[in-house]
Order: sequence, then structure tokens, then C-alpha cells
Amino acid sequence: MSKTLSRRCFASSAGAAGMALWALPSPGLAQEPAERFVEVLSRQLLAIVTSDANEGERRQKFRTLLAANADIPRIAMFSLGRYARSLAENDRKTYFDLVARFIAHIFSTHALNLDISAEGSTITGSSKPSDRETIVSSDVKFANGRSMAVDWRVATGEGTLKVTDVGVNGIWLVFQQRTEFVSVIKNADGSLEALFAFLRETAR
Amino acid sequence: MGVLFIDMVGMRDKGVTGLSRLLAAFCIVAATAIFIAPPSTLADGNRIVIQPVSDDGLDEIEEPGLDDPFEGVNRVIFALNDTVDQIVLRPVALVYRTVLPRPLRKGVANFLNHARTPVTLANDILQGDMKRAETTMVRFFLNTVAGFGGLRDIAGEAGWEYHSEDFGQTLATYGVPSGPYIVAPILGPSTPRHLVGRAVDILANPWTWILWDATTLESISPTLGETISARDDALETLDATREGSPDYYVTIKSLYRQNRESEVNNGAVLEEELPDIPDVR
Repeated sequence: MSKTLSRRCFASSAGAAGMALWALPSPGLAQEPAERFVEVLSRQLLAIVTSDANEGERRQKFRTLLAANADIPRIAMFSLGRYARSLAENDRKTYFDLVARFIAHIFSTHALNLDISAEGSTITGSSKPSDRETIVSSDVKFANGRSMAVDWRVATGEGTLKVTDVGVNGIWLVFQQRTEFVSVIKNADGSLEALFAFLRETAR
Repeated sequence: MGVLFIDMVGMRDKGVTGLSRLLAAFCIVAATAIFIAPPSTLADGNRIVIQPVSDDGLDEIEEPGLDDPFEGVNRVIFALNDTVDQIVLRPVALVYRTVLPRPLRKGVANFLNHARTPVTLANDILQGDMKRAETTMVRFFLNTVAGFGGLRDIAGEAGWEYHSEDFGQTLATYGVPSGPYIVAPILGPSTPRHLVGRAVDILANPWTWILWDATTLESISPTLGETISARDDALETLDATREGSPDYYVTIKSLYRQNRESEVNNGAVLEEELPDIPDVR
């Protein structure tokens, strides 16, 4: 009898606790998969930014993170803009690798130049412009009291989540990158070689 | 730019009119915002409209929003402005950083933001954004009373975050197109709408009239302060941007456009205006 009672008591307590957990506003439980994805990714990025590693190590860590979480081929092709058709099939792998190295270089350069330390990142919301994309908004706080709005475009197709662009205080970085890549190619009369040379030189 | 700058400092002795000094102040204000400002304070707002792409996503993607019909002239002026920035403004900002410790520089930046309240408040109201107008007023009250006259951003620490509005943004909310991208001597990257906005903001700023009869140096001191403070704030950002940019002119132009667009939208992400990133690989 008492066993039955205590089992009942346990069951009802567990049920109540479960209900309470479900009802309580818990960021971890209420978040969209894309939000959780960005939350984890932000944490990993900030760990790189605030680490004591030298620039080379930091760049390598960022490249690893980038390869796992960003859709590099998609970003790279978009960055070619009107010249995407000019890229030969054989050159794609090389080009994608150069773009990954270039982004890592830019990231580490900017991160090293920050004379402030990031304290943490908070997810502030998300929206779904389409079935295949979620835009996650976050806020990065710095030790000096400043904050920075960071928005993430996350491709949500085929059971995987990949970042396709990041907006920092209203500046979309891949969009910005495309403007610059197209400019390099245009200034070289449409030659992709000029872009390859620039990427090799920068990411050396 | 250096020549004009020196001329402006000596203007009072030459007996120039108040209007000339107003124009000079306007020039420096514009320089502050464009010429030396970090990407987070650059830009103006043509809508970036991306045409639909074909099925494979590889067709040309036009960007009619980035209208730059005067690119040849713009590039020449941009190069001149940039040279002056490297020779004058950047070194001055470095000295400023060396001389003043960070807390003091923060106090100066806070005070300059505080002094800009009348312009922001007027534009909040003109845009019909009463919530932001309320924020501006609360910030002004709190920072005046508890923030040592604006030296400390008590309101920001309490959650009333700083924002700025200008008449260029107000015109944008009324549907006035920005016009083509232009780089003016000294003023740097801008658009006709943005230039008109700056002129109106200068006229609407009480400091313009309070300092009307002051010495030239006194009358331009708020603008000089803003210029140096903003350049100090942008030191690392601009250095890194310059280093990583294949074409600094194009980089600054794009940053200007994007950031100005963001300012007009008060930082909101407009999903329908984001370019499609086709899934091609």
C-alpha cells in the first residue's frame, strides 16, 4: 500500500515537474533548432575571439569551425555574382578553399584588432522568411558595456543547418564580400585569375 | 581637406561671415560622419534590390540600388580624402588615444552623444516615432541629472539604449529617394538626400546658434570633438578594413550603403530586401 502510494506520489510529482518544466520559460526548450545552432556557434566563436591563441592558431580554429558550420560553396558561388558562370568546374574546389581561408583571415584580423573582450551572446529572436531559411538575431555584449547586433542567415534544408551570411550591425558580410570580389574581377576585365591571385595573397 | 581645415581655424581673423562658419562646420560634421566614421556609422539608403535569378542561380544578379554614375570623379575625390585622413585625422586620433585614458574618452563620446539630443529628438518626432522620442527624452533627463551632464551614460546602463536620428533618415521615411552615390571633397561618401539632411540638422542644432558669436575655434569645437572621437573609435575597424579590402573605394561605398539602410530601418532586418543566396555549389 505504502509502496503503491509512494509510486503514485512519485509519478504525480514527476508529472507535475514535467508539466512545470514544460510550462516554464526555458530558453533551451523553447528555442528553434536554428536558434540553438546559432547559440552554440556564437559561444564557440567568442571562445576563439577571447582565447590567448596567436593569430595563426586562431585562424586555424576559425577555419575548422567555418568548415563545419558555414555553407562555404554556396557563399563562394554567391560571392562571384555575375561572374559565377565563369568559374570552371575544375577550379571550384580550389576556389572554395581559398574563400574559406580568406574569410578566416578577415575574421582573425578583425578579432585581433578588437581592443575589447566579448562577454557573451544572447539570442534575441528568429524569423523564417521561407521553409529553407531562418534568420536568427543575437546580441553580443562586450566588457566595456557596448553591444553589437548580430543576425545570422541559416539555411535549414535537408536536416542540416548551415550559415549563409552574417549581419553585424546591419552590415551583411557575404553581401559585402560579393561586392568586393565582383570589383576585383571587374577591374581585371572579367578575369577570375585576378580574384584567385588576390585571395592567395590575402590568405597566405 | 587639410588646407580647408586650416582655413576654417583662421576664419574669424579674416572676418568671414557667420554663414561661412556655418558652412565650415557643416563640412566638418559631414566629414565626421562619413570620412572617418567606422562602418557602423557610415552609409545611406538606396534600397538594395536584387533581381530574381534563373533556376540554376548563376545568372547575373543586378544591384540597381548601388547607383554610382560618377564613379570616375568619385574615386579621385575619395583618394584625396583618404590621403588627408591618413596624414591628418588618423595621427590626431592616435595622439588623442595616447593622451586620454579610455574612461575619459568614453566620457567625451557620451557627452557628444548627449549634446546631439535635440537633433535626434526632433527627427524622432518628425518620423512619428514617439517611442524612440520618449527614449531620447528619458535618456536626456537621466544622463543630465545622474550622468554628470551626459558624461556618463546612466540611461544606457539602465536599458534606455542610445540611438541617433538625422534628417536624411527622416526624408527616407517620407519616401524621398537618396539619389546617386557621390563622394564630395572633404565630406566623403554621401548622397544628395544625406547632404540635405546634414545641412538641416546643423541648422536645427541649438549648439549652432549658441556658439554663433563665439570664436571660430569655439564654434567648431563640438564638431572637432566629434571628428576626433569618431576617428578614435574607428581606428581598428578602418585599419582592418583597409588591410583586407581589394578595393577600398568599393568597400567603403558598400559599407556606407548597407549601414545607412540599416540606420533608416532602425536596425531592423527587412527579410524581403535580403538578396537570395542560391543553393549552387
